[in-house]
Amino acid sequence: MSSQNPPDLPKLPPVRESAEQVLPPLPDDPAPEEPGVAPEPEPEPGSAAARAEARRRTTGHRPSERRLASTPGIGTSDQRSSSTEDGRRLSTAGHGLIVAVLALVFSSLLLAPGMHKSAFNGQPSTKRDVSLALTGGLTHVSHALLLDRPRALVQDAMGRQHADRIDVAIVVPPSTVTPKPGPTPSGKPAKPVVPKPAAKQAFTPKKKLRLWIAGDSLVIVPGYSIVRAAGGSPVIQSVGGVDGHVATGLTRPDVFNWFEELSTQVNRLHPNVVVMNFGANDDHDYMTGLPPGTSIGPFLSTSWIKEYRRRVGAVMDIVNHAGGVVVWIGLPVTRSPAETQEFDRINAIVLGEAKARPGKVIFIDTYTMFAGDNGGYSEYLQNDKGDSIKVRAGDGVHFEPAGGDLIARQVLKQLNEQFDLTSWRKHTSA
Amino acid sequence: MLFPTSTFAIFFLIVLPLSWLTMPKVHRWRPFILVASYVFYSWWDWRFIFLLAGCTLWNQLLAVRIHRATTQAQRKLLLTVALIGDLGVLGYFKYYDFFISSSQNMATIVGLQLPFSLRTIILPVGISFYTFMAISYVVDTYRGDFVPTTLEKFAVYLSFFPHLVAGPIVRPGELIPQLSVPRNPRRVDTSRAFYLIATGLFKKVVIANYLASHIVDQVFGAPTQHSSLEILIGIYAYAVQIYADFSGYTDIAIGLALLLGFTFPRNFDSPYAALSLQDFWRRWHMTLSRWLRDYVYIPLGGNRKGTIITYRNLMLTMLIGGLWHGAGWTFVVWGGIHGTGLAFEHWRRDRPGYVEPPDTRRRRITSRLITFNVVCVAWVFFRADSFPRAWEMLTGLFTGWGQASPLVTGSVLLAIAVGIGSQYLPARFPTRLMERFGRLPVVGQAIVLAFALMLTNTMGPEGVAPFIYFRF
Repeated sequence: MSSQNPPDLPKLPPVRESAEQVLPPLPDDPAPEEPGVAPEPEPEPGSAAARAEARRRTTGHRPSERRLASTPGIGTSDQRSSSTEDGRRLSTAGHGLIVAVLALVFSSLLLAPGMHKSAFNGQPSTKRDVSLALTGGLTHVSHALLLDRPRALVQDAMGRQHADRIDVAIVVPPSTVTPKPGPTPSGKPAKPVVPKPAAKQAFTPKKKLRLWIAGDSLVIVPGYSIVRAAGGSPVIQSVGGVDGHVATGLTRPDVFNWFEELSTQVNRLHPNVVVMNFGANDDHDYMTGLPPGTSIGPFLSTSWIKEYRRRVGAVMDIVNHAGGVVVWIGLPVTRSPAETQEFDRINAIVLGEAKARPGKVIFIDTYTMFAGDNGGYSEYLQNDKGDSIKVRAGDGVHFEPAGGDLIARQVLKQLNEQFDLTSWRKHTSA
Repeated sequence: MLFPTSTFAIFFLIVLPLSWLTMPKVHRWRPFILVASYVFYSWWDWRFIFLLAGCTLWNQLLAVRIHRATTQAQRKLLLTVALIGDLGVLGYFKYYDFFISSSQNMATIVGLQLPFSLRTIILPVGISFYTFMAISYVVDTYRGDFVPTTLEKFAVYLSFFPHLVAGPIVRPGELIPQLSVPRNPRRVDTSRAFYLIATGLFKKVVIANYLASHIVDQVFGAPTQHSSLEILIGIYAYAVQIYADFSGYTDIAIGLALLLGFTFPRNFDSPYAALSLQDFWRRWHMTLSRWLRDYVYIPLGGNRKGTIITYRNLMLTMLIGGLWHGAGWTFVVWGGIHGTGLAFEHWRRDRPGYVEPPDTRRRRITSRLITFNVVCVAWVFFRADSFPRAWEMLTGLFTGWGQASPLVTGSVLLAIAVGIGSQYLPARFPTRLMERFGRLPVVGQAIVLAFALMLTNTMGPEGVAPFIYFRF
């Protein structure tokens, strides 16, 4: 191997604008210059490398030159030859344009049902109305021509038979919340019933607490932190992983039906605790899945709040009816003050429903947990050692893993208060 | 505006015919494509366009001054000013918080308080890519390899939307000359363009997203909760995910540019078929590795100043490459592993009396396996959000054998096999495919493409995940 290297960059005539068509070929790779381009050892006679070297000598090109020759302005001009280096015919720009347009038209017909669902999932606007009208027509044409069949076949093969179904039905269990005590016939308010404090449910390494995590994108990072933290406890078992669905919530079951998902997974996984987080995508006027004959006003109007409260209560009840406890991660302070105010109102609704289900729903207040020194949004917080740690993602809404760890710590603390997770140690040591 | 969205499809269907209509008079085409590119960029955040415009003006001003400077000292001074400006802006947006928090944490250890506060800085999309392209422009001018062009052409070079947000990192000598003469509308490689766009979309939307959501995110999110087999397959899955994600993006970018009449350099060449780390860097993100070679490694002295300096230069280059990918120490370690590996390969080869073993099939298989697994170990640090998590991944490889592995499904293994196996296809395979596609009539080509789009959309998840390399 030669230890003598050529200078860094062999001098070339400088590239000028007038030299666009045929640029000087790049110099031979400057011998051993790393990374990426270093000299090859001499090939063994008869080896593939040796054959390639022989070809190079025959053609007078180095492999790298041949490769570069297909790149812009290097070596050869794509503006002169009528075919590519590998002998394929070149086409016209018009040909490309027509193929692209036709391909999009054909694919629109093949994908019409999915496009119609995507249009339906949009927020109410003129754009949505136009998209719905267009894709609705396309869907009819596609169905009439049987062009929706190939997509359906692929979906069947992948077990996604209902992926294009627009589902707005919400099955809400009867509420477990007892109405506030009304006045007695005598006109005096009834005394509230104070239940006796029940003994804490105990879990042991043999009978572990089953924990499931579900929600929108805000639950994903804290979810993995909780799974990790739970892994350190011999009595907590994460089941079902982190079921996070981006851009979903409780207002749009057509986008993702959480009511159905929660019912299905609670019956399948039998969790003792469901950690959940919803609301970050619900700050809009529009809801689907309203009861027949019901209409709602704009976001945070009385009718909106009433319906949203019903839905929040419903997802809590789905878990509670199956014997599980809900740990609801509240919405955090965000970079946008307007968004923070909206999240605050949603938190108030959730907190109200949580308080109506004492012992069955735990609310984790992330608003104050993530507020900075001035009480507002902060991307960094100081840990116990005084180190600044990044707890919020660059988008000003989501969490960094260190922020997720803070939430996880709080969740585990609450679980320790709610359940008996330690008495098994005494029995074991005894 | 992400490539695999209907918004971009509409944008491109407007730009494509207008681009060819204005192309015969290229002085009209340039302002048109400049506006289109700025519209494309402003789709993320309209404020970003001021940064791009500022970067353009700054580098053009300095490049022209460097070209006109009469003495070497002047040229050097102007180059230094240009680089300080470029790296200063990049450093502020990308590394400010990283350096301040790292410095403060170190100062806290010795009981000091630094008077700097952390700021919430939004990272502009694509800043690392167009800053590197701008640096190429001024450095090439300084070296006398390139004569500065007009402000208009330089602005198009820097902002041309197919490469703007995630590369490939195109050199001035490769693109600017193409901006000066009309592209020939009768010489467009549409077969390659459509092949690259269709396969790029499939790689990103189906392969990368499937692996991310079905194994990678869970395993890297909570390694201690998974078996050794899940961790091993999770690491391989991430290797395929990042390849499919990034090469998919650049394939689409190259294909779109081809349809507009422009040719970009290749960015990937079957990297997991590499026989060594050096070979890997010839095949992975090729436009970045040659940038690092020409603008970092060689100026540091390359391998001309002795063995130890060569190792140092290799290490420094790869550490800088690591830091380019992200403001975090895990990225530095990723670069360090590659730097160490490259230095080791040099040392092994440069030993006195070293004889290259015969090139046998067995040796190639062994070399590929070793290289791929070293690359995968480095990917652990690249993907993990912290050192403890990376450590849990690596130790988990040995401590959880025999446990249930529900995440290792046939579909996951198939996606990995497709991702890696596609890199071992003979080079003639895509050529033949493009050749046959090119022979089809217009309607036939459109039907084939439509079915490819249908398959990609149907097999992919709902919604579109952002490309991994956007944040770099």
